[in-house]
Amino acid sequence: MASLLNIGSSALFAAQQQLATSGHNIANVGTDGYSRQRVELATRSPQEFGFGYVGSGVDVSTIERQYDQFLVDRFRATTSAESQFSLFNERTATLDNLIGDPDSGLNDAMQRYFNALQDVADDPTSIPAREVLLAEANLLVGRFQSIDAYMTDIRDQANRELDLYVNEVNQLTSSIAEVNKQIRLAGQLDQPPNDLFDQRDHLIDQLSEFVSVTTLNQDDGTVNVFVGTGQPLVIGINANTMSTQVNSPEADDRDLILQVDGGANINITNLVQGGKLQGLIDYKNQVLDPAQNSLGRIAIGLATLMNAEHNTGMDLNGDLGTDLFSVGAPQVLTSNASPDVTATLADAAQLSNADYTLRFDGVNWTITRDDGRAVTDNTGAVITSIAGGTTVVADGVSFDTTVVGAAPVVGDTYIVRPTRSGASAMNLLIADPRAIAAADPVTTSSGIVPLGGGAPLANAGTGVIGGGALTSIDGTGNVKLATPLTLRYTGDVATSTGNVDISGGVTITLNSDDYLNISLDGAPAVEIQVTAGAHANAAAVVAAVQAGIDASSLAGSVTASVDGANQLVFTTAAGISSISVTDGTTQTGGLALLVGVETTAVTASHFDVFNGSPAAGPVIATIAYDPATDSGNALTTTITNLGVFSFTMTGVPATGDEFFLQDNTNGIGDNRNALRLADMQGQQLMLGGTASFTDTYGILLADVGTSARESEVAATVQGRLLDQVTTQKESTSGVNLDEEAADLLRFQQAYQAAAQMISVSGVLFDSLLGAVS
Amino acid sequence: MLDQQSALVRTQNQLSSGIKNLLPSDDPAAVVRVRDLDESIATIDQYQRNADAAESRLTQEETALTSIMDLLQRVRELNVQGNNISIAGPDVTAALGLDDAISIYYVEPSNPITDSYTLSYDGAVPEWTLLNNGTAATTTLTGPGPFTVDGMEITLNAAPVDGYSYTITPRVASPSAAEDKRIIAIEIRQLLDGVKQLLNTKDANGEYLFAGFKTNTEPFSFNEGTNSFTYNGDQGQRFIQIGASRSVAIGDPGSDFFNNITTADATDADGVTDLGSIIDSIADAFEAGNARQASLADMDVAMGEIDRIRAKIGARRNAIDDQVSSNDAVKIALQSNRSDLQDLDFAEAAARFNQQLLALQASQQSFVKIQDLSLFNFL
Repeated sequence: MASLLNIGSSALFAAQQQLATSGHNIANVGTDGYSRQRVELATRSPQEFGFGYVGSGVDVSTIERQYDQFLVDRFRATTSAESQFSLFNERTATLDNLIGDPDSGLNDAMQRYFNALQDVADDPTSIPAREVLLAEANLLVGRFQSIDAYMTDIRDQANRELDLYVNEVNQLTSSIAEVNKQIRLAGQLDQPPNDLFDQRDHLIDQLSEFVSVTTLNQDDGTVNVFVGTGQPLVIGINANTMSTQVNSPEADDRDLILQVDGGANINITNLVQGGKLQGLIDYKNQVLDPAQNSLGRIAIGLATLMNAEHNTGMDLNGDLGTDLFSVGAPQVLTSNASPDVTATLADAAQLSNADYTLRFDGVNWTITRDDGRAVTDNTGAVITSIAGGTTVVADGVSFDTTVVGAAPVVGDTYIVRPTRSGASAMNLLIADPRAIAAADPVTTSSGIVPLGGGAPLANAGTGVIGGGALTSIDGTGNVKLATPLTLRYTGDVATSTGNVDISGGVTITLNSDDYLNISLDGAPAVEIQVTAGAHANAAAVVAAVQAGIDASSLAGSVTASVDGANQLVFTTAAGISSISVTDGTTQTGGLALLVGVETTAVTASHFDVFNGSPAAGPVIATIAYDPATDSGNALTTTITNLGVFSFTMTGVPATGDEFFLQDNTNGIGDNRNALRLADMQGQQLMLGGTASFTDTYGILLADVGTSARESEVAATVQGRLLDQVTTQKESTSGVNLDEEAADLLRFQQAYQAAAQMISVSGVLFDSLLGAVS
Repeated sequence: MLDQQSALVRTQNQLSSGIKNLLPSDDPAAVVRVRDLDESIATIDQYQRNADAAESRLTQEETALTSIMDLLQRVRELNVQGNNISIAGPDVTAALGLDDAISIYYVEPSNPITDSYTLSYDGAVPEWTLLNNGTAATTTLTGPGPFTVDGMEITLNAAPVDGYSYTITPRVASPSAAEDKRIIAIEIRQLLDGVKQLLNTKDANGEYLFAGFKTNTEPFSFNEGTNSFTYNGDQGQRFIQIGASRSVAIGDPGSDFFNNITTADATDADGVTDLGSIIDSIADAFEAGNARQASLADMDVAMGEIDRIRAKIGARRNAIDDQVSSNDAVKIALQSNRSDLQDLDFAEAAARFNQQLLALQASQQSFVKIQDLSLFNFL
């Protein structure tokens, strides 16, 4: 009876515990991180009798937590990945919304700016059209700046968020350390403190949202938590503090620092993986920085190229064009005191959207791009380092490593961001609508209206001049043309020079008439007759030969003369580009000696340039022009004290035709420069001449859009995985109310049965007592 | 359920905006392409506006030139009419031959002949012989004429026949005919003023049409002394872009046509004169009672120049029309392309919307049903 009572009471106790545990499970059905508990029962040691062993009831051996370490680890890894991609996607999509929206993006503003330019080209004297252009240019600049300011805001916000996240991580790790401590204390009682384990697991789960962690269980029940490649966050009962620190030299960036207890601070920015921390860092590095650089690149490209074109023009006041937009300079960031590396923009068309790192190795500066691509010069050759003290142009940026202050030492680092400030530094520099340079400063005209009035003359040839321009010799810009220039055309002229001295003192006596054959431009030779007689000096020889020419069909086409070396020279009229003089066939000898071994030379067709009227001044320059090959090409020449001037010529001018370049005085109806400015919209001026301005913006849109799309897919995939793992984990550790309800019934029945046992034992006892009494 | 809800919201957004892709992340390539197409379409719209501006400028220019042409026609008519007022010729009597085979005018009627002449034709040589009956001097005239001898301009109106002979005797001009000529001269001068005003035509914006780039400089000024126009503009020509690679000139500098008239007037040393001098010379001649034959050829050259420019304008307007219709065609193609990329198939989207709504309702209802299932309800 006593044993039955004992058995009954042990069963009653066990059922009570089971009911209590079920109740606990039901009570915690909504508790995050709670793992279902189960009472583990064990048969009490039986009593040994002679006839065998008699059972003595049940013992509660322990209360166990339903839990699978593999699932927990997977759950954490998936949580980290999911929160990383979700955050990345959420931020990227926000940026995407802004730049992709027709109202807040750049496309619309850019289109309106170019349309306004077209309107100015349509009517260059209209002040309202110019005012509209200025307004649209302001709007465009404003759009650049507002998108840029938004990006800077997002970066600041992300930095603040990083602080917040780090704070939460610290709270979680110190909580974990605290729970570790309690567990270690509880662990000395030999039974598992299930609820503390749950609490700690839940803390670590929460920590996984911020950063991917690995855990290591210790014998004393504590858990060590590591991040990255094994940097300790929690060791036993101690938590290491994580903090953020302003990056040097990139002050707008933050580093993650782990203060290891008793050790050095570790920079774990590039070591942490997963979770919101990596999502945020990736977003800044992979989306925000390139996007802001791309935006800056468009701003710099637009400003630089527009400025260059605008500067070649002339405004309504007759002044040369000035810069339309201010251009952002490259940022050079360093922790060093002396600016040993400086960077300037060299070619907007070649700019990338990357940032550059220059590190001194003692002799050279190694140069790398933060997007990992090769750095190239304008020929496409890869540049990996810059010799110390030299200047190299790479990716459209001129890197100057001239030592300015203290000499660099090994390891000195400079970060160059060529385009980061591009959009924020862009401003409209012109406020006066008259200052828009729609005209060109130089006009061209042909011989129809001669300079300084007088009777008009028509050119005889078909030459047409166009596109005159004058720039300063140092290439700094255009200059005004003070005096008109006259270009006078002369066609090909051929000369044939003999090699026998015909100077005075040499008397050449021809006993009979002599003959020479002259062939022009490869035509059949014409025989000229030189009359017999004594020719006492060079002039007499020339006169005799000229008389022969004039009597032939070559009259007017060939002139005989004597040169400085007393050689007989035959010169063709302009337009005849070859001459050949040989001994005559009718009668040979005599004069043939004078021609001897002739040398022929061709003075190629060309323009003689006069400052002002040809009558007034000497030839200040000559410009070769071959109608066959140069027609339509730009002809350029440099004239000292004046500048570099250029023009185009089409057609075939006649010898003596004159063309003029003069200042475009009062040329307010000229829209040539406005046309060129407007035309830049469609030209592929960016990315090494492969993309227009809007194409470049399209690339930015596509880059951000693709990032958003990819991260959305990744976040969705991780979300599904997380659902699966959560379901699996729930099926192991979760509380199923139905199961608990069944359990309650079961345990209640067990309890009732156990109570019945005690009751039976009581009845038995009573009946025994009754029998005794 | 959340997924279904967000899918539903997306479909609803598409339905309300009528656009398939809302954000670059939905389909980056398509959205960038749509933005490109937006840009191209807006650019074409701008080209169409440019074409309108060009068309309007060219219409103004053509109107001005047509008016000038009308005036010049009138000048030429008056020139012919004035020349035909035969006050200025001597009496011609045909001894043998057709009366109107020749006509003779004084070069300067104020300086008529005093002697009588005999003009006879020898078809064998052939040549004309003009005998001054007073001085007995003879002049031989060959070729088709006209011939100018002793202040007479002799014009052949028909092919002469051997033996033709005419007697030429002095005659005094009638005063009323001289008055008629002066009236014609006055009208010609008025026409000249009209031409001058038309040459300095301004467009709607107050810009001179024929001044080249110097649109606020009066292009033509009339010099009282030399009776000529001076061109003050330049040779600039403004172009307007009406297509991606097509631009059209929307004007012609005055130098291009009014200063570029090679005249038949042999007295012009350089062979080139301007319209003002030509018209003025006619008026001058008529005021003096003279005829002015050579100016007819000059006028023809001048009108030919204007016709040449009008032909150019016509060609340009054709080019604009052509480009405008080509722009329209391209725009329609681009719009249809854009529509393919971004416009919503409403039928499909509406069907999808209903389907998604149904799915959401189903999962909501099943969720509620499942939530209700609990063993506790049955205990």
